[in-house]
Amino acid sequence: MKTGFLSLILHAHLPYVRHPEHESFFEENWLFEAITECYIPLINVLDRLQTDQIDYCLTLSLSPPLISMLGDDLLQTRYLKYLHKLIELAKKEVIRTKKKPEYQKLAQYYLYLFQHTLDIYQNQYKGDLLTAFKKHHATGKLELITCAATHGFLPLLNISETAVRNQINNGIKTFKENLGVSPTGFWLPECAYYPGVEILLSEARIDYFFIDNHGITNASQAPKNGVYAPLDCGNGVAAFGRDPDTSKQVWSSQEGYPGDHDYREYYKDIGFDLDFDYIKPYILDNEIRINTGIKYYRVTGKDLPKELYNPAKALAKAQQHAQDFINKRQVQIETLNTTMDRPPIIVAPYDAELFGHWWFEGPHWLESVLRLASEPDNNVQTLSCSDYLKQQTTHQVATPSASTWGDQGYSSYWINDSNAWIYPFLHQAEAEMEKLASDLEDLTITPLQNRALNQAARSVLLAQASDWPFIMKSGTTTEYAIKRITDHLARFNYLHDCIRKNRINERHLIALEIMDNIFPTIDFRDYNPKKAK
Amino acid sequence: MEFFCSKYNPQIKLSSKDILETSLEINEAFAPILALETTDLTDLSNLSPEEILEISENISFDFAPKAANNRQKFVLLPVDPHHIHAYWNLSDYLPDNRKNSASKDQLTLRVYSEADQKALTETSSWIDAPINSARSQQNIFLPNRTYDISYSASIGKHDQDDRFTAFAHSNSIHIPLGNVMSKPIEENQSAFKSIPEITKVNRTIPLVLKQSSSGQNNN
Repeated sequence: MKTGFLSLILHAHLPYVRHPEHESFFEENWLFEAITECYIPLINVLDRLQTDQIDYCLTLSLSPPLISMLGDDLLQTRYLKYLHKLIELAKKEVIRTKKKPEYQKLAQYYLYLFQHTLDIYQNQYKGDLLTAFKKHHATGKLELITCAATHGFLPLLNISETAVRNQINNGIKTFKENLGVSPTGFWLPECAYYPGVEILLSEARIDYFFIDNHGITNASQAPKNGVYAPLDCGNGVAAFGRDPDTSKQVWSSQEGYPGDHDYREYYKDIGFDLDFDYIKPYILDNEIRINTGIKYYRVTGKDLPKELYNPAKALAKAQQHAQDFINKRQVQIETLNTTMDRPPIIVAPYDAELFGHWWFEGPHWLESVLRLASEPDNNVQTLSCSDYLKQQTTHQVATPSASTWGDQGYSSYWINDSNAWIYPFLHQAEAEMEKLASDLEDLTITPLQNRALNQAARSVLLAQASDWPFIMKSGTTTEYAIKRITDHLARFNYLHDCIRKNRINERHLIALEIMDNIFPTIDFRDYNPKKAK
Repeated sequence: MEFFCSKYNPQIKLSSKDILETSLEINEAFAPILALETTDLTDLSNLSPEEILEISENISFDFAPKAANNRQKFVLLPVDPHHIHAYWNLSDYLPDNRKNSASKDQLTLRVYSEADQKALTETSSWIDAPINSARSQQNIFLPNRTYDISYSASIGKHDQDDRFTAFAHSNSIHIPLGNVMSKPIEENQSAFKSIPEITKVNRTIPLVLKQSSSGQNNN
């Protein structure tokens, strides 16, 4: 008998990386790798569950930049080119490893995997993966939600309510335009909550959002049911708290499942391991070694020579880990039921890109969890948060505490010595955009001016992405992050200048529209603070 | 092992493995590249990728954000339960040469809770931090407390009678109660930072997908 609920949420997001001004651009591989390793494997999972008529429930948050990129013609074409190159490399690997049967078996495994990916992408979904998600959403088993327009870190944009409102509303608008439905839930980027954001979510007809554990435990009233029931923020919008146990079991690099010795080792890739002349055509600019996605080893253990990856053994381990996960949820639910006044809901949100990219077997684990939870002889039932709210209509009223799911639990990963310099510029651009919209209120503007103003609003949003300060702090592709944020600010400055001087160069405007073609129906008038009042 | 002979040249014998490898080699070298029908985005404008790039680079060069142009006066941002971040630009009010000025002209950044501000004349529970530039940013350490609180701040100077005269006021921010688990952030005041110089864009670190938002890696 089902006595408690498990809500699994995957948040899928990548920054908007699309560079038509270059013939090819390395950072676009972020999307291509995620399609190959995460999104298509996830779709495969959903397709198999549907074929087998499994009764499951999963929530997928699709960020607006990701939605836009998945539907973009240029990136779709470039992805196919990327995938063909990968297939070419896998075929070469089958030949290269002919005298090492155990390696050749793996090379053939990769070749099959990539060819199958091509078949799914090109033949089944005609390059548009959003149709796959829409199809599963229509079954009622996949709940789709979205997040802020460019994944802006809202607590640090909140010196302007208009800035936050535009991040929220443009995100929801993009989702509706592409998925054809209105989201009931909202993923706060980085789970970054501040008291008051629920007012803007309510305006946007959002019913619920997620926050980290301490956002609930430090709420204005002690939560009677811990993080296992939502809080009503006082305006009917519900805050669901992340369960620390399920988080640790999957995320922890020490104790988490993905570190198991049988799983595929992420950091041993033929892009780094093989002879340079051989791998040269498949690395960056024929010059810099990169991950290719073909990896022959398993985690093995710390400081041990890496042993060969065994897919069958790894998948069996993922099955075991899924069983362990469900067993632990059963115990957790039994315990919670002794103290709670309602059925508990265990909220387990993860980055979607963990599953398949960092944790190669993650999609298989997820599928096993959903299959196991559907079995009638355990007490766990997967459920979306919107369905939980339909079942439980009243909730404890309290204001959650400001918090994020980032390192240290607050905003310090996004504002520190490496990236604090960006905020005066972001706030200035926002203020100037608002002033433009306000100054032009009730004035007749030409279509060209209208386009320039909308493009300026796009530049502001793109500069506000939380990815840029995140990358600056993590120290990975720092120069790219700096270039992106300064480029978007420069584009805004340029547009602002030519709008103010009424000297708009259409050729330049077209170039900017081609490069930053996200949010096609944005309306700069939404930046007029008076409009919301 | 079974061998296949060519009917044209019986001397050439191939195993099934040989045939498979030959097939793969041919596929690799001569497979047609399948592509979806795509829109040429430059059709509409007759702009080539090179022209778009040139426009982009010119705009980035000519309109790069400059700290000196920033007109945001004084802003507080929440960092964590123990820190707020402040930036200010008072160049319009003050010459940017306060660094070596006499102590009587010393600028002070005063942070107070909202409640304190209302009772400003009756309480002295604010935090004063000396600042040395009309345009700068810094973290400010907050005292321990047992409740959520909102803060705002002013920048001003003390007169000869040690009375504080404020001439810039910040926004108000909410700071939650809570604990951070890691080392505290330093209260380092820094000059208003210039944008880091970019030598070569994104061609040095071949990293794939960004790490987890929660700052953790796996494996």
